[in-house]
Amino acid sequence: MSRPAAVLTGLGAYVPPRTVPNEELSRRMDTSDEWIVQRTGISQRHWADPGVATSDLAVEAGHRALKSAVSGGFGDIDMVVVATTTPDQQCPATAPDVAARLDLGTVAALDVAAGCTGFVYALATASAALVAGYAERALVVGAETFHPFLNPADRGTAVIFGDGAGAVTLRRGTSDEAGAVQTVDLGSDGTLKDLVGIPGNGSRPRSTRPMQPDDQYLYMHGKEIFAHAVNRMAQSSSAVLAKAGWDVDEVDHVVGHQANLRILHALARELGVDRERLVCHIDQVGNTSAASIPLALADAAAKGHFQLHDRLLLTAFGAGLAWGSAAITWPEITLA
Amino acid sequence: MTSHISVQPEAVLDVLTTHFDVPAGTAADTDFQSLDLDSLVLIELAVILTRKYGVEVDGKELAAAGTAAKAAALVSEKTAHS
Repeated sequence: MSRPAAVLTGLGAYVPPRTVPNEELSRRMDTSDEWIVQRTGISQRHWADPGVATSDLAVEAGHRALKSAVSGGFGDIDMVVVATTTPDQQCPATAPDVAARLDLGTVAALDVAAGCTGFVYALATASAALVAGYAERALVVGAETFHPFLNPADRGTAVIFGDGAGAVTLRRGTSDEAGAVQTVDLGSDGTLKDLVGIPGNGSRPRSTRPMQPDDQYLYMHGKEIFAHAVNRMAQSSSAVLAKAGWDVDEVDHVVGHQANLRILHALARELGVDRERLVCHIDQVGNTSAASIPLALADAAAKGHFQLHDRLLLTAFGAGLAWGSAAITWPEITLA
Repeated sequence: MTSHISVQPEAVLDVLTTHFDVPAGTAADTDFQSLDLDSLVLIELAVILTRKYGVEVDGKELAAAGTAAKAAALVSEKTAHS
């Protein structure tokens, strides 16, 4: 039976032009192309040039998504949600700036901070607003500029993270339409908040001690996170599939957060999905956090991997800890 | 009441050889350290064993166990207390 749902109508992606291959990093720190590829699956990443901030990437990806939207018409969008861990500033949020620069007027605009799960949380936020009738059409952007937050002395993060942005447009529709967000599953575990983060300008470090130089940088206990990532994404995937009434064998494509190829392969093993159904884009862009799922969607769509009505499982995991999954069907989309 | 499962060393060895690139001739009492495994393999093995036997095992515990046989004993012990 058909019910109200958010429906995907447009898709856009943007990565800054500067490509940073593993060889370049191996000249700067104790690492090698072989080490990085074996442990992460990453061959290169894109880093924004000095002077480029997250909103700049978000505006470009948002512009492309709006151009690709079937319904067209920039003025139709009445809500903008930007998922990011690397906003232009701590305050104000990045989304109002993105909305203004896309000439969307005085629309509702907010940031969602859910780490690498940001896009799924933002998709859920916008979908809920559309289904509730609080908005008619939404732009959801995942955008990150991680390069300035990477500690050049920490090879555990410096080789992994990249910059980029991906965006989708959504409209209010029904669940039987191609492109419908069927359902989502979201979760978190704050008891493990210290496994990954950026102390930065937060009230906790500011109220308890003098700022430390490393506070500006991302830290991550990657080995501890690995098993949590696999287990939580597998559990959340199973939960969202159960809610959607889909058997795992009916899923055409699994679009997992592109954190580490080994995590994606382990996820496939846990779900009982062959690797051919995994969408993998990490080799080209690294871990782009909240941007990773829409970037992977755009890459696969551009290569013609998705067919109308294909069933997609999106699943992500990251800082918080937070995780989430979404079940969507693939619409008719022409990339800008 | 307990749900003790006796995990055979061969079962752990089978997971290791099926999913990971370990040398031919690897046995239940082969030291993990001699297999030239990278730092993620035991974490991945722990994820599989955790799902398969329903008890939480992590990579550090498997590294401390050191062999497939001792890993099997560890998982058996955990199932006895689950």
